[in-house]
Amino acid sequence: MDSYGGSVLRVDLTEGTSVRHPTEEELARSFLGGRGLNVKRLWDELPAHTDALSPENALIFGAGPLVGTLFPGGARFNVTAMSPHTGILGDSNAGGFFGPELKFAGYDQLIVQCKSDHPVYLWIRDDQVEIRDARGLWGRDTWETTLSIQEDLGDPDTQVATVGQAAENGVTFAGIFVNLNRAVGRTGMGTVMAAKNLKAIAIRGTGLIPVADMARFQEIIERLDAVIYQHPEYEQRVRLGTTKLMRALNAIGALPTRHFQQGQFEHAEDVSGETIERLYKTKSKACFACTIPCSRFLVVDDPRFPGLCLEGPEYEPLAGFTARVGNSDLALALKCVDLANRYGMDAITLSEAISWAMECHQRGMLSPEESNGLDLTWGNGDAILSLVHKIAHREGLGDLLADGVKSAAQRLGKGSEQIAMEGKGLEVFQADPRAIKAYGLGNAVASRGADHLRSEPWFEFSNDPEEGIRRFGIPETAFRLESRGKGLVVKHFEEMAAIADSLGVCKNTYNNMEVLSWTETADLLQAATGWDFTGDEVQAIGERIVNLERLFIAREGITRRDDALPSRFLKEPMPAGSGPSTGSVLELEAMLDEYYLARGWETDTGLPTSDKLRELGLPAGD
Amino acid sequence: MPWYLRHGTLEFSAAIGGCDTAAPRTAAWGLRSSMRSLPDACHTPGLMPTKGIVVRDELCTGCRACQVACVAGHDGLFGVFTARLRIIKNESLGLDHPQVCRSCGRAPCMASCVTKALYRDDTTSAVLLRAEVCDSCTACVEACPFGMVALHPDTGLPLICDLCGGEPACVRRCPTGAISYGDLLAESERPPAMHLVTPNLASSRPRLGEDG
Repeated sequence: MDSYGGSVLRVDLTEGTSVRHPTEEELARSFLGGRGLNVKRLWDELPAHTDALSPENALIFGAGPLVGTLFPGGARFNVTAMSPHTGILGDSNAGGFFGPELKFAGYDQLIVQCKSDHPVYLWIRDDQVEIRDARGLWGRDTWETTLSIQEDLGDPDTQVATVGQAAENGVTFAGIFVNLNRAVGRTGMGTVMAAKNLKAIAIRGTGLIPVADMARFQEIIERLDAVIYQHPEYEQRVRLGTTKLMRALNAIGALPTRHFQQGQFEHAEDVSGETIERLYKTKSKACFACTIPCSRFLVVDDPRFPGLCLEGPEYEPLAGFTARVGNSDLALALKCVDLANRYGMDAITLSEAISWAMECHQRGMLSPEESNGLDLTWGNGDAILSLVHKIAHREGLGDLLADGVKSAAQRLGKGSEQIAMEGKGLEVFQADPRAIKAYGLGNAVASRGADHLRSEPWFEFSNDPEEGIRRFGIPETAFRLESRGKGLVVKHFEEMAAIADSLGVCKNTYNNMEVLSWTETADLLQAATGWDFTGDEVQAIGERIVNLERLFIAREGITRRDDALPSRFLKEPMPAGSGPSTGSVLELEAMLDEYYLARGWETDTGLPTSDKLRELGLPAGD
Repeated sequence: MPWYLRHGTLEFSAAIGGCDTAAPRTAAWGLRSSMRSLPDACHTPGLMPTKGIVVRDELCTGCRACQVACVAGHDGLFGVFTARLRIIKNESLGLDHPQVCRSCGRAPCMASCVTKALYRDDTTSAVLLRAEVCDSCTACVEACPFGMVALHPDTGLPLICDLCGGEPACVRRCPTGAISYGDLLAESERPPAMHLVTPNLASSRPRLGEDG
């Protein structure tokens, strides 16, 4: 199969065996690869209500057809399993160099099943698969593990995906890390990996991947590169990456300041992407074959944190350890990001856990004993750092927070449930949904719990009503504070996000910069795979994936009433001090009606209709 | 040990200064100067090409687009393994060192070739291969002091940079100008694009294909 690795590798950790079978062409045509093929596999093979931490859970790594190609940033691989953090679909992805290496080794999917009786790591070189003892690596952080495996194998080009101590300690939101700083962060995929006693996966691939029409593919990529180089966002993305959002979101009053109690942060400039660039950036860094090197290597000269250097951070962890916790100390925030990477935790959830504890402290919901004597005043750097360590090791208050805020609030009570900023058990990202309403709706309906990366409906920032009419027939869709039409916007961008994740490309370019239309995507896929696609068919694949994910979470009991967000976003207008967003609330119910209608789902249950499922070739259940 | 492992070994990286474990910024950037010098055996002033590939480590993002372009151009496939250039990376220090064929003035690969399969291209100064007379003896692999020659795993023929006939695909795809092709002196003085410059970017002193 052109532009595919060609095989699926299954590893049984209980038996210590592995088998390989060809990637099924009809599945690839219907779900492409990566996220789409992963969720299809999980839906087919995992019984309903599987305990996420049991050996029965399957941990699936998948890389789509554009991974490892000339596509700029065709680097992303997805990891999918039942989530121990949310109890529903777990799925997250990362860039870097692991995904391409998986493809070069000949694999589109790697499925890890069962559980080893002692810590092991997987060593895959092309078709050789070895399960190796990792007792000496258990207890090591992600950096130590990666470097130690590369040194053992004598090959720094070996790509390593590993978990840190947080996963070993059962923190439910632990991630899997590649290239030291790149996180498969959300929904606790690292926790699943550690529960299988699998410390790391090391891969080296020496293969080359065939392509249906190289000349045509190169021609499209050259045009695509030109679009990227001339894109108005190009230079800023190279300079700042996503940290450009610190200034931008502060200006519109959407920063989650002090746990969403304000939309602007008085110290935003001190912790902005521009300040990081000026003080600490030493060079631009990139994922595999990417022509927009949006990552940055930082060397932080600060006597309190000797030797601190890291790649990144993205906007999400940066805002999480600054505005969200009221912290204006940039070096300290970067130290927190570094610790999150090394312990191996989802920085979004981690920052929500800490900022939730701080608001509980502000409202007198945490007694001094419950907060372990920590002074959880907004911006107290010592307390923030201390909590990062405590959560990773599940000590004291950290033990409460290590299951995420939904569970922590249920245990603490005292009304703290009202301020747990999560949806379906997953913590809300670093922007106030009241100020960017399509994102708000996207968070409420996202299949893996509250998250922006399932849709990235950037169009509401465009302020171009005519384009709104052209695209969606509704001028309000182009404005972030309007509700009307956002159901259509979210549907469209959910399908784009599903396609990006299933092809294995980056949503910064594919969604936010819109470098390829549906038709151009179909052309590129045709050049890569040789299969005929139209633009509409590509979009239908996106729709099929979104619907299958809905079926998956519906099987776990999710309905419309779970497509919810915390009451603060729905009832409390954005307070003064939120700039142009002051006074705004999220009119979620009306937006949900519109969204289900656009999806062809039942508005009372939020579930796909049998007609819609049949149209998409999915099991209709009747 | 198979060549592809030797290609990437830590010892090899350390030997050319690619994988120092010391952390401080100055020391890390200081590595670059130690990578410049060419063994006398390869350097004959009169034979030094005036055109070539200029490398600037500090602009390299480590993305490997150059390698993908090289393999796409030569093999018509997607991959990096048979690329005629590579990047030695140190992720913990954020260092990336593109390694390219120097098209040496007195090329040890050519000198070692008993079947005369390797010859000099008059226009580009690249070392080219007459595949039909090559017997895959690996002498050129052993001879290259930079470890830049390897045998293709399928064809058994040496992978030596042919400069794509004067329009290197790797340079064409490089998004930052970390590798550029042209007059060595002119290219080495070309300033980097403004969006790549930060106050902390190490001095953009270039590394020439030959020395410098």
